[in-house]
Amino acid sequence: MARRPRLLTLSPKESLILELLTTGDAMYGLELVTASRGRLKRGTVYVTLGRMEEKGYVTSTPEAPPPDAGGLPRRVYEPTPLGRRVLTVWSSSARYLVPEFPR
Amino acid sequence: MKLPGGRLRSVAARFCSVKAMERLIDPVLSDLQAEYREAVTQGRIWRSRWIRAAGSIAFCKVLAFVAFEGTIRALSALTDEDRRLLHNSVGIGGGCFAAATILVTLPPARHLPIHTLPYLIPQALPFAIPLGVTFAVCCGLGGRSLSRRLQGTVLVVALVGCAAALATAGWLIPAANQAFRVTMAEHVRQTRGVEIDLRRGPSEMTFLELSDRIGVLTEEGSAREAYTLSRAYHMRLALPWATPALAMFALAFLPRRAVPVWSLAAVACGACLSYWVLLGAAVTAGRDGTFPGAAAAWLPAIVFTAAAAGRKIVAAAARS
Repeated sequence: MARRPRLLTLSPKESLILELLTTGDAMYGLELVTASRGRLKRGTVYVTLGRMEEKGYVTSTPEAPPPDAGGLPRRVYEPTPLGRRVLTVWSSSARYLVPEFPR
Repeated sequence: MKLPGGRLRSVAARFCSVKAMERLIDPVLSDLQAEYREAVTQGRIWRSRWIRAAGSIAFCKVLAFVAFEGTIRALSALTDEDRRLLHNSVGIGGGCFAAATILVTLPPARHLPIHTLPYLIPQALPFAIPLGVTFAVCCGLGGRSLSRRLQGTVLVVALVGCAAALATAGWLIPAANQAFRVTMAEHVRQTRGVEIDLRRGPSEMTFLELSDRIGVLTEEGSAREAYTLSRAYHMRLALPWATPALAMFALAFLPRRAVPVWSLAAVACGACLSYWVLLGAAVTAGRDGTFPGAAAAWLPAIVFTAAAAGRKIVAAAARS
């Protein structure tokens, strides 16, 4: 039997991260937490970003720490073309799928 | 300036893959260091302390996720033979666990109203869990060579059993004991018209309540009572560690060549019996004051773990 193609999915947290990254510049994990106004938590944002990187929605590059400061290089995240496309499709289809309640 | 996270990173590097370090651990720690550096540069000491604490909690959450993901991956990467052995062991362990629970619960339950039975079951669990795991390892995995991955999986299962037993000893048993006392007190009041004092004793206290009570007694100068409670506290804290200690012992001393099942069952019986006899002897010595009470509770777990580690080291030295 032919194998079905993998369906691309987007969780609410992933969608929020992509929204934040597409509307602004590339961001660090902590910047995303601050920009989300409490909707993303410190402990989970990195796990979500790691999963999104595996799915190919975001890409990250290490940024050298300031000279003579030491420490680990920070990782800065930006959306990939696939991530932008998934967000666009997901947001437009979600508009049709959300039920409308009579007022 | 000394940045936080260096030690945490070296601990994580021992357990995590390069990919997990790059994608999960390093981003948490690098952000923690950058935020900490900024706070210290601005002279905001309390903020820097808060950042250190919040960053460490975030690090622990990420590490827990990596451990969980690693366990799932290890289970899915087991070979068909390993999986069959694991299924066998789970069956044997489950059977022994159920039998031990029934054997410990039923004798006292015979003389009690049937609705008190659920309150007696938690008492059996700290004994039944290590017994079930030891029999599962000995009878399900004994007599053959085991892959490292399968041995790791067994240890993870033993640690999960330890956590379950710890939760049972710390919270479930005290709650069940108190509920049992309330039920029986009501029964006695109705049948004989006698009121029973329902204040919580050491067996009805959770870990935190016991610890607080020991502190109060020590402050009041009641050293003898504090010592008695301290022994009970350590006993309940140490008992759940029987599961990983016995699992490690069984993995280290199991025969690798084919042997009859009854001899494997005898090894399991011997290991469990030795553990409880050693515990009983140490507790008696602790009660007499010839041995420190807290150390007595931990002695069997330490002895069995040390024996297993010693055997592994000797085997590794012989191989090399």
